[in-house]
Amino acid sequence: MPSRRKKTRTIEVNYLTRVEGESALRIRLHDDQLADLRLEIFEPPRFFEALLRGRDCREAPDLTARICGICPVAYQMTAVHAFERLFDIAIDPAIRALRRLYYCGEWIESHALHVHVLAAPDFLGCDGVIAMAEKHRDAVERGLRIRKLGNAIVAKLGGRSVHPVGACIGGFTRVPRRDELAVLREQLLRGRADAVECVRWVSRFDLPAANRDIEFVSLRHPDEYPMNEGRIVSSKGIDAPQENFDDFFEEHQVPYSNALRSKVKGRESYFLGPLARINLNFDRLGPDVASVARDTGIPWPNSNPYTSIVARALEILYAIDEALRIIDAYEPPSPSAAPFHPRAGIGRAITEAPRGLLYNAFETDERGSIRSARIVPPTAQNQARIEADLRELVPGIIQKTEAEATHACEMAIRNYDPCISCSTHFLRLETERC
Amino acid sequence: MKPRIAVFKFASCDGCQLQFLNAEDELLKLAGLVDFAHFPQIRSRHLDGPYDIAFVEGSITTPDDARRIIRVREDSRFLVTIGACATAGGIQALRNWADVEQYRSVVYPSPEFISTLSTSTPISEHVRVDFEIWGCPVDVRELLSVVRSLLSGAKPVLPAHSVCMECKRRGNACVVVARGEPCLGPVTRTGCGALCPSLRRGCYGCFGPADDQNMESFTRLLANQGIAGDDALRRLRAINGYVRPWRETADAIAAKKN
Amino acid sequence: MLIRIIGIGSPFGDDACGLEVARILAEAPPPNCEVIVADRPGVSLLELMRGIDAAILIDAVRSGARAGTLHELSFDDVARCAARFVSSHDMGVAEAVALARKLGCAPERGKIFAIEIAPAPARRAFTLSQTMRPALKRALDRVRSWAEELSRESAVSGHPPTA
Repeated sequence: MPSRRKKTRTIEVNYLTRVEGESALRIRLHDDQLADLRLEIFEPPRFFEALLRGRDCREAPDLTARICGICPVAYQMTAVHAFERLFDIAIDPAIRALRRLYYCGEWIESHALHVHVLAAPDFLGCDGVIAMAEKHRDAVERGLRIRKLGNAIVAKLGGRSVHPVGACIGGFTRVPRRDELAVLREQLLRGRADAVECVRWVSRFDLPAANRDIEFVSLRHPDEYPMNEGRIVSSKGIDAPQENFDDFFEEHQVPYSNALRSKVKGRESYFLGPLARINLNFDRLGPDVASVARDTGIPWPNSNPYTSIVARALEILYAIDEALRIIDAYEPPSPSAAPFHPRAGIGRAITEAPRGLLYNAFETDERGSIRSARIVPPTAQNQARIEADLRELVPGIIQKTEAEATHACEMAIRNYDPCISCSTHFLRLETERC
Repeated sequence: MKPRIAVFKFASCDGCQLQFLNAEDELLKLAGLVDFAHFPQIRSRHLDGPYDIAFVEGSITTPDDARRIIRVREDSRFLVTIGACATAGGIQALRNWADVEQYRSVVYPSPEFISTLSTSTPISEHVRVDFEIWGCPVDVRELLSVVRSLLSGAKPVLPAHSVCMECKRRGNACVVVARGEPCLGPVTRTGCGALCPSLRRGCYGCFGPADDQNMESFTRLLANQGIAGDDALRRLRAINGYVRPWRETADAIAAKKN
Repeated sequence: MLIRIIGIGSPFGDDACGLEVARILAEAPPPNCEVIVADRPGVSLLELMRGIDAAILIDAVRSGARAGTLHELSFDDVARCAARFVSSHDMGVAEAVALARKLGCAPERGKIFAIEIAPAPARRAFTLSQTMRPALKRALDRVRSWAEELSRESAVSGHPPTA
């Protein structure tokens, strides 16, 4: 227990576990007041924005996928959209539907990973999924089944789930036949039952209460739950086309982090991800998912980051329903990809990666060679919001033991399902106890 | 006493260690056979070494990591590198041809805050590696095959012939011959199941060089397809571009260009 | 005359029986024979059949026969036979033989000795079940005997035997 004679106390976690990537957290308290809080991202930067210079636009899907092993589709597709906007390529509706299916697969796989492997152990007092399997075998097997379904969808379109191939500017190098997609149906139906059970399971967790003043940001679309199209909206009044991203958000660098940090211009941090999407698009979930959402007893919208795990589970369910709709209506497009002519200029696009808005801006020359690239991942944008949450959390954990305080901080961070490898162009929480 | 397994990450996208989780049902079976003593992605508990088998993902790009891999090697009886970052330096090895100061300032407005090396190098340039699993990402079946071999006390064996053989086994029409698509398949190591040609596009070499490749002949093949100079360079200098046979061929093309 | 005896398999349980036969033969190879222990050879099996006069391949097989049965097929039999060798290795023996013949790099004479194994749980590497012992002995006898027959034919005619 901390001594009352000393004035300064710091909390240190050298390497945050059950978070993708490498990061640390250092909290320094002075007289039981927060003096300093730093989310240190020491994931080595890989400089994607630089190495893309001089590459051909057609290489972008293969290269940008490597930003993240968990959400490669989001990186590929956002880049592809940016070029399609710049080159003014009309996309066949069937291609558009296949791309939404791609996102369904990735959301299912990524969210199921977070819920079962990264976050659920916290609520069940387990140190990880392997330990969890001993006492909650059914839940773990269900989670792995759901992941398998997500991976199967991505692999059906792209050959494999990590760094899939097949997406290209204008469409896909090959599109599946109707019967090839139809084989997913049975797995999807079983997955739906699993997903409903998963929502019920996580909504029964002992979710900490919190009510924060948060600006939620996501895409919004007139007809559908936002994945790869829509306008930028926020809970504090932003409503703008995707291309205007830079009018509203800015990045800056801090000395202790390898990831650039973002804020709303003229305001503070903002919150991306499933909770933001549901808060801003509840009316787009469809009656079945909305009903399951209401049955959880959690109010939607809400400003409690700890409900993020339920939001993710709901999005798994939505994605399964959406995948079924797409597969049932699918007619293979021809050609599989629209031809195009590169032109010089800047193309901008945003899609909803599993963890939130992903913004890309690519500048090309007249041959389609990339002159500059800007990639703003969701976790980088969420960094400031994570720190804000931690600052609000600190007064409540001052009196706790080091282990309890650390655990509370890790849980608060995991609400954001951070993907640190993406956000660096994992958390080490450093606490000094006196 | 169950074998103690450790999984370490360096500069990478996380996709290769994710393949343990993508093993799906096999993951729980594996968990019954081994003790994941250090695997921070999936468990909070950490046990110090020595470890029986260490899986290392990622390349070395910072001074800290260059020191850390030495400690990992000291703590591990058998060290397996997984994926292109660890075996080849990864896509971030493209910095090795560039001016990294320029790279740093392109991305970060205050580059002096970022500590990085000017190169991204494979693990084998820093410590002895006992086995390499190539791929970006590694193939789940190959990963499990290696684990299974090691747990049985056998040397792991993975095929290293070219993708072409795999294409034929799958019954693919050759994209080079039938569609004039540029394809690195003839010089790329098998393991992926010939994914790209099966999806009607050329292989881009994410599994690294095959054992039986002939770079001279391949360069001529590319040239006959109208791919030379910068175009050829880009295809070789990509995910596994730093690996010697491809690096040397690319450097030779670059030299001829200038 | 060069006869190459190739024991094929993997270390896992009884799948190693072909390797074990080769290992034993390697200690005292029959005349004119070179013995190779090919652990999971994949496509390098093709290379191993080049530049020789005759090949003897020994492998494990699961065809539904009683465990311990010793199957004996000539290269011609393999080419004709509809049944497939069950191989978890990326290029099976039957495929390698068929491909080598198509490419014109297979030796004129060849035999495959396939030992029937039972499915078994994973064991420690290179640990064969006891029930395999008699089958191994039979395989060893047959391999030696056929190798000697080949050598005799070649000696009599003064040149390597033809098909």
